[in-house]
Amino acid sequence: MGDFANGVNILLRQPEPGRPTRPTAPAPVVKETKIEQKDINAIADAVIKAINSKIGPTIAATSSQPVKEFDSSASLDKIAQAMIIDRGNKESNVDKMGTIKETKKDQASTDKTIDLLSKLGD
Amino acid sequence: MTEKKEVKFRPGVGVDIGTSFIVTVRQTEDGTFVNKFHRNCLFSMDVNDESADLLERSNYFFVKANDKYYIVGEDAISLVNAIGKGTIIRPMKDGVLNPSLKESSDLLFFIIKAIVGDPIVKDEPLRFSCPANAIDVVMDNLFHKMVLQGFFTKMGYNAKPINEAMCLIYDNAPVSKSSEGENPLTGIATSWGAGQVNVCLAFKGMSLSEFSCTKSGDNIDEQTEKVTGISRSKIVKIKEKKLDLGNIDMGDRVQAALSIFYDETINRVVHYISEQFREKSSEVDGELEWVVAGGTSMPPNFCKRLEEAIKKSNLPFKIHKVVHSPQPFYSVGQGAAIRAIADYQRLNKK
Repeated sequence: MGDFANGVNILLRQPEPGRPTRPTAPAPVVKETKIEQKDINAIADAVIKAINSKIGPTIAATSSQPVKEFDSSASLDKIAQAMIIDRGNKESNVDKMGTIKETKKDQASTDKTIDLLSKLGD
Repeated sequence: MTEKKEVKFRPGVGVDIGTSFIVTVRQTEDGTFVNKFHRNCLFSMDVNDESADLLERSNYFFVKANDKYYIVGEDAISLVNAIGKGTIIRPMKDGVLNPSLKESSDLLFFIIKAIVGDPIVKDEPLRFSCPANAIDVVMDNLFHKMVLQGFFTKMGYNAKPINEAMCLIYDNAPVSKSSEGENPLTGIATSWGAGQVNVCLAFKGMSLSEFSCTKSGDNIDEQTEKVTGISRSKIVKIKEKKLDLGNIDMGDRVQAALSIFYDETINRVVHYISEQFREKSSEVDGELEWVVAGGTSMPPNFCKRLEEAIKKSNLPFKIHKVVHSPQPFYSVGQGAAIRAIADYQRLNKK
């Protein structure tokens, strides 16, 4: 269906006098692709530099503060406690388990070591 | 029937929880060390009439849990050797709790509880051996320490970890010699276990540096099995009964292979010690003693092999003596007990 104005298909309408009838030449295509690409890259580089230059000092400012390491010992302690299951009523005969061997050491030397160690901390 | 004389112990207990054995040690008031040990392994069987019958007839030590019977300790190995098949479960791996075995942790605790027993005084000090972090694999023993510390604390002990190699320092009391005199409890200690070799450098009873290497006795067995095709249980038997590192029967390919892998292990550890302790050399004067213990060090002439390796190395210290602990198997537990007794003395002086 065409467009109609006053019953006349406006697409078929003759141009008004004075108006050029031959089709206008297509606008010249300026082959500026490479130049445009360069420009885009340059712009991108400039943006990146700007961002980096903004981020750089910011990072430097925060890195001077030492990052406190996360202390996971509380979590580990909970897991450790959960692993210790009391199976007091387990059926077994292990009460008398274990081979015993007695050894003798120089008692004076051992007591000297114990005295030395009792003065140390943990 | 003669009455058993009640034994009086000094407060303070040492526990060596190793890959192969658990050893607990107390000292009596007359100075005797009472070492109680148990092989750290399990063998599982389904609960049925046959297995119940076997347990009744055999007097094997066992624990029943999760619808299975677990034969514990030496009995597990005897049973596997007798039937010729089956897998031994090892609750520990490379010196720490074996994370891949879900049932092993609570069974291990049950066994430890049976071996260690209850405290003899309120909040009795207990020192349990712990490996140092390894330098040849990524490993953090913090979790292992916390689990065991929590377990012993629940039992009523005042429990603290202690480095395995430092236990050897306390048990063997090495002395360094310099122009200024002697320093007690100073030297290098190496505990050659099944899963790990633990190493420390000590000065006057304090640890300057400590680390471990994961390839030790078990690795020697494994490599020997690979090159000879002989089963590990047989290799272990030859290692424990026949091997003399000063007199190898080269006609026996197991002995020949063991000799080679022992050399490799010793040289590797000496190399690591040379590298790790280099920066600490300025803190220690004079000539040091080197203390050796652990099950893997038990073949005769092990220390001779170590002395040869030391001569060829770039060790930053002078070693005046390599000493094999008179009780290489119990030395870690005894050292832990000595430290625990010292803890009790310190706490009760306050």
